[in-house]
Amino acid sequence: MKTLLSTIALILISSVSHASFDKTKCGNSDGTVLTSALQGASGQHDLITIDGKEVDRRNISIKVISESILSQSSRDICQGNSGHTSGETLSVQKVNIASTDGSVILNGQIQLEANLICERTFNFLTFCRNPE
Amino acid sequence: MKTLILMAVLSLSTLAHASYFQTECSDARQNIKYNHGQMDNSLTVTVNSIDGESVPMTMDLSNLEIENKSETNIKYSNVTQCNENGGGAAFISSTDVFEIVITSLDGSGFPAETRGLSEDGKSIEATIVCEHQANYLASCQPQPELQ
Repeated sequence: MKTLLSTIALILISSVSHASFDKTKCGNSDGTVLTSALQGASGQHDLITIDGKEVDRRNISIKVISESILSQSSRDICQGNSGHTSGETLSVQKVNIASTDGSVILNGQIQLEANLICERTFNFLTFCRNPE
Repeated sequence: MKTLILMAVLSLSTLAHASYFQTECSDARQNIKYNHGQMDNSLTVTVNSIDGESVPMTMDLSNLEIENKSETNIKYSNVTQCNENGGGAAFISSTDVFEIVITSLDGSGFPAETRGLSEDGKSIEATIVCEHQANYLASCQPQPELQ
């Protein structure tokens, strides 16, 4: 019985982790600033590329000065009591990017401001209370 | 007469150098890059290659229609700097988001592997952020004195 339950639990956890993700990709108008964040079973990362070079994220701080949501949507897809919620958000963020170790980021500057357009997509497993 | 021609040429030359405008746009994933202005007029889309790599493909702008479906202004700045002689320059910068649809003027479709391609393969849709920079000569009118 224990083995059966463990197997079911493992399968469920495995399904959850494979199905869930939350990723956001941002870039500015000339492509000099690109960010990519991913959290999910397939892995996770938090990357920033400035002027074509990937910068060590540990030495960079990113502060969102303002954010404007352009569109957002999400939907639940249910099969019985189980299902998933998936959605997208499109936004524009004004960010301040600064090096925390004093190193130059771009054009001799240790900090810069950028207007980023960001696409966030997510997919979470969800419990459906009213199965269709 | 020669002096007049020389002066006219010099004036035109000054004007030509004094004004400038350029707009650079891209979507969040850098799949679409659209630039227009004095320095660069180009549209680059991204195509998935067989091995999954992303390959930029420059499009022929003369055969494209780029329709703005919506426009949202994020930031606008217009600053005029004046000198003592009443002349000056205006510096404009703006950030906007556009929802665009790209189609071919001749009705032909785009490669099936193009990112952002519509279901019928006839158009490419994207939401892009654009930074616009412009400057031009401006006349600075003297401010009326306050009574």
